[in-house]
Amino acid sequence: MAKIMIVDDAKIIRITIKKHLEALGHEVVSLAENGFDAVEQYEKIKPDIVTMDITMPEQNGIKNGIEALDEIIKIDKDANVIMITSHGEQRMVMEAISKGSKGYILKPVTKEKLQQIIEKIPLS
Amino acid sequence: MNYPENFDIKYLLELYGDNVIASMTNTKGQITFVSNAYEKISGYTREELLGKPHNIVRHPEMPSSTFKDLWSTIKKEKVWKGEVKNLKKDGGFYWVNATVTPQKNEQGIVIGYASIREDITDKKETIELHKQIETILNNIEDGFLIFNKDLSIKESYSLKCLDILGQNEISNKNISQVLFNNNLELQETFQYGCEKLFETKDINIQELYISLLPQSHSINTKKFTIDYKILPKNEILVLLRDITKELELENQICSEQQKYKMIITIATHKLDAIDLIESFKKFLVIDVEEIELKTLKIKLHTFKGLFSQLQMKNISEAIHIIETSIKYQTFDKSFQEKLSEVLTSELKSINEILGEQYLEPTTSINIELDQLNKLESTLHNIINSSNYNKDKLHILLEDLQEMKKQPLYDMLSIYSVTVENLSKNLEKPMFPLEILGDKHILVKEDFRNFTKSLVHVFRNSIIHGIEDEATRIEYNKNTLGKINCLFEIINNDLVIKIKDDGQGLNLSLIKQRILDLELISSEEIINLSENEIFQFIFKTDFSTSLDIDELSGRGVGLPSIVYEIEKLNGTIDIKNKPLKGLEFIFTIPFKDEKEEYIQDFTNSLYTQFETFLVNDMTIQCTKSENQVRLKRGFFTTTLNVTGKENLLYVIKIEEPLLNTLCYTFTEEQNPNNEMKNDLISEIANIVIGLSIQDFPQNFGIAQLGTPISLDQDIIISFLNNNKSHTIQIDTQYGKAELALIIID
Repeated sequence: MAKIMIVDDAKIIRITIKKHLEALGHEVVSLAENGFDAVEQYEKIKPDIVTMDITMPEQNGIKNGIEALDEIIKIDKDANVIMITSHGEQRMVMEAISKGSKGYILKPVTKEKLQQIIEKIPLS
Repeated sequence: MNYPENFDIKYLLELYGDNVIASMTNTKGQITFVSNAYEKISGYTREELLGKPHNIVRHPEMPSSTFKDLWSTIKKEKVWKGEVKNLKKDGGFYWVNATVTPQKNEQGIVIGYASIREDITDKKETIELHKQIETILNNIEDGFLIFNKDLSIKESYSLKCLDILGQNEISNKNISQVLFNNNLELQETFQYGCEKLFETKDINIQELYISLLPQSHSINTKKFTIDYKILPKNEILVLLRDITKELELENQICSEQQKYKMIITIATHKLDAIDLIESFKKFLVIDVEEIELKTLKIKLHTFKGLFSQLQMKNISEAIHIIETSIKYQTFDKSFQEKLSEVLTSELKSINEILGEQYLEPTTSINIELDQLNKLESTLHNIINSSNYNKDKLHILLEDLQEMKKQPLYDMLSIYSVTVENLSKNLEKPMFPLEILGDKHILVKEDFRNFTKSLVHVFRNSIIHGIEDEATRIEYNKNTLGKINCLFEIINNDLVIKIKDDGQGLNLSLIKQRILDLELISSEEIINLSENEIFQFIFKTDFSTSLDIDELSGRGVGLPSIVYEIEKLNGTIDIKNKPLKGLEFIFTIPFKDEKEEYIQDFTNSLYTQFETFLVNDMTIQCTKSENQVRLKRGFFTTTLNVTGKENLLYVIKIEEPLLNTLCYTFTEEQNPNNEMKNDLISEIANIVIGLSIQDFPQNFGIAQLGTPISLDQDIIISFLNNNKSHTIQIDTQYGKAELALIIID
């Protein structure tokens, strides 16, 4: 069981991911709706895993999920950040991975996809 | 020591003989000297070789031209060099690179030849292996190539690559340009991905980048998939698979599937199809000049919708193209000809399967069950021969089986003849058999065995129930006997009643028979009700043993009815009025599958909606299921859901409730209508999406359409004309309604 933070600007997506994660037996410790909040909360809560929407509107200088990822990696270089992406965003995902993201999920987010990716993450 | 004249060479050869494969011959080619290394590699001893012709080691695979060349060279007193495959003593071989030099004496006369060789067996074998692998690779349907960190394609690639990529040569070219020549964006993504991939040593991260590289592409008419494998030394193997033909086949199968879908839809909606085709034919010959463009547009649009409903996709697509051409003012007045061509070809495929006259308005031809069975087996074959859209084809199969259902009324009406004939044969005058029931009640084919078994009821009624004319006069009954058959659906049961006005069953006679046969004891029989006693006539022992007395036949055949009705999980009751008549009541569970199906699905939707309201929105709610009619003034969204059935999912939320939800979502105090519509669509999506996951057995192949906004009146007319199920949800902020409508 992992402590997970969900970052997404769409509440409906946050709810969907939360439902799936809870059904898988994980604990959703935080919901953030923009990159800025995500970074702030990451520092406080230190979740095991973060699901990060790759495209989010700018908030306090953090433009999107990649920048938020960047900041989180600065705080914790081993952070487990999973990007949530859509078709046609391959280029952005590559960038995120080069910045330290541990994987990605192509929307729509399903329980199976979440399970598969979380299984791969070594939790200390 | 006495050295021969050419001692210097021989001396050297002997000196290095352990390592140098050397030999000398005289001018006739007979061996005069071999080194230790020669002995070793050839497997012969020195003694075996000396004095023998040199061709003792000649391998049969060596072409004689090589030796001709050798001899002609050395005869000219020149040095010969070449690669030779030699035969070992044990039958094996070895490859050497040989140098043969003529040896002269002091007078300058050639006295023999010296030969030194280098063992190149390993090298030769490697080359051979390479050639074999190359042949194999070139003959595989997939293309292989390798590129390195500089994105440059290596020289060894399989020939299939050239075919797939439409190139003459690709070695040393840039892989990104070769693969995605026509797409700069893909090139950029590919280059970026490769650059990042080669930067890391972590194989897991490398795999992540690989998964993000383009997986398929097309160049000219070729469509291909691309697989990547990371090789050691910063190289990547690319596997190209030509899927052009596969896709063509898939398209072919899809159009075949589409054809059958159309045929079945038309067969189930025959009258609609005839009407539509007739009015379309008329439309195709009207003078277009005489109608306004606006009217024409409306007409075309309506036809498009109607044809699409009947799955006549080729026509609806053709109309769509014309509509578009009107929109872009490239409208061609000869459109009627084009459409009529398409119509002709569609009708041709329909006729091929359903028969020439099927869609003729003047003649009404029923499809024979045989034809349906043939269609069904064709469909089975298509399903078995392809992996595409199996689920969707199964829907067609179900449709077909649905078509094989028949009106119960028709199945029973054959007994009119039975009754008429028997009454004549037995000289018992009868009223015609009266059959009362909804002609629209359809039953599956497995019902037929049951209705066939009912023949025994009718026969027994006339033979033993209905009295002869004289007796009937005596009892003051109408001289004409009467049997009626009534069927109706009561709750979830189909009830069939067959009633005669004959003499009924004689209870005491039956009791006596039971006791005679020792089926139960006289003590037990006292405790049985009349109905329980009558049940004995359905027992096999009871009926088969009765063959001579007046009860004979009263039970014969009845066990077969029991057998058939039990297969349908039904029951039989008997109402007996001594001297007045007998009634058999057959009760068979009969559920409307569609109704049950949407009820289940709507309930599942409700469960998700409730979870959503309670857990996510912290709003308590209660449910009432009274087929309420959707009310106006609610915010509405509809989703098209296709699967086993075509459904319209309607969700309506009263404004105050929607405002509360909006606030919870966005913290917006005064949401505008656009926001509210967005929200309600999103809610519909999440609720139905989650519900489908919970509901795989009946809805495993559902596909969600995008939200559509339909006019309230249209929704209400859908509700009134189709099977539907509605659930009303009450909350403290207002009501919401969920409805599912089956769109036929």
